[in-house]
Amino acid sequence: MFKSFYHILVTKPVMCLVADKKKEVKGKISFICIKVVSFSMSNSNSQNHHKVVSEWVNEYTDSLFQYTVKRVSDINLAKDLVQDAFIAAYQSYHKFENRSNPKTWLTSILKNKIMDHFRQVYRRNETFIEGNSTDFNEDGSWKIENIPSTWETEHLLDNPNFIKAFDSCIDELPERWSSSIRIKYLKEETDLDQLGISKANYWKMLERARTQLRKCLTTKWFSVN
Amino acid sequence: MISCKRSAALVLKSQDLPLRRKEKIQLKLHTKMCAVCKTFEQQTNLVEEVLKQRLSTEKPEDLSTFKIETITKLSELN
Repeated sequence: MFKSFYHILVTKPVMCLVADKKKEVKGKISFICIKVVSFSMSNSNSQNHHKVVSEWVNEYTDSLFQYTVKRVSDINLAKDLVQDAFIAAYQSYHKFENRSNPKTWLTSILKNKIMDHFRQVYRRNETFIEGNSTDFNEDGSWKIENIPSTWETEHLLDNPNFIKAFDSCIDELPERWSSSIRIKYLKEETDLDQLGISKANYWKMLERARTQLRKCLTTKWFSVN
Repeated sequence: MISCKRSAALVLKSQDLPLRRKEKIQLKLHTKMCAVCKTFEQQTNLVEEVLKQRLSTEKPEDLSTFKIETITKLSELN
């Protein structure tokens, strides 16, 4: 009888609470029971917390993913960052107070993850960025080989093959250049100081990225098609 | 008149920063007379247009498996 009662206590915490009332009547049983109560309480707390965050995953993954992919333009990287944000939210769940909206809270964690990513990109081998001066002669005229060839641009933006070529040209850019472009299209202002890049260098990178993209399109698309 | 090198630099600058009045006039004058730089300007503008379009389109993506993966990861943290 004792064994089966213990079994009920462990698997069904509700039963345990009932048994807890019997404390005064049966000393030994109440001792087991109290232990089980405290165990089951903490367990149900973490289960609850797991349940809440899992619900958030189901509810907010889509919008958080959209938010991230717009900023980093890389599906797998966006997934990693979103997942990292959920893990961070799960681990610091105790800091979440129900006063704030979970989506707002998750977004703020995610924003930090995205900034960390960009910061890492710029920390790697900071090099001096050259201008586009190599395209020109000393007198400032175009070098023959660098004269822009004419482009046939009709219906270009509707052509999926062109978009493909364009994307592959973006992929070929050094990461810090393409990141600069992505940062430019973030809806909100980005603090460049926080990323550890100077404004001058940022504009130089944008300039280089544009020059490189134009050249890449010339070879990959316009000279072939 | 400004050189082609200078004109190309202004075209690139204009994509990210506002040009000064004087710079605008210099560029306009140059590209009116220099077909090569006019082409360069058009191509740079096109690149910008495509960039804008590419980087602001939302790609629909099926995230259902990803959600399950994330929840599984959370369970493993315990």
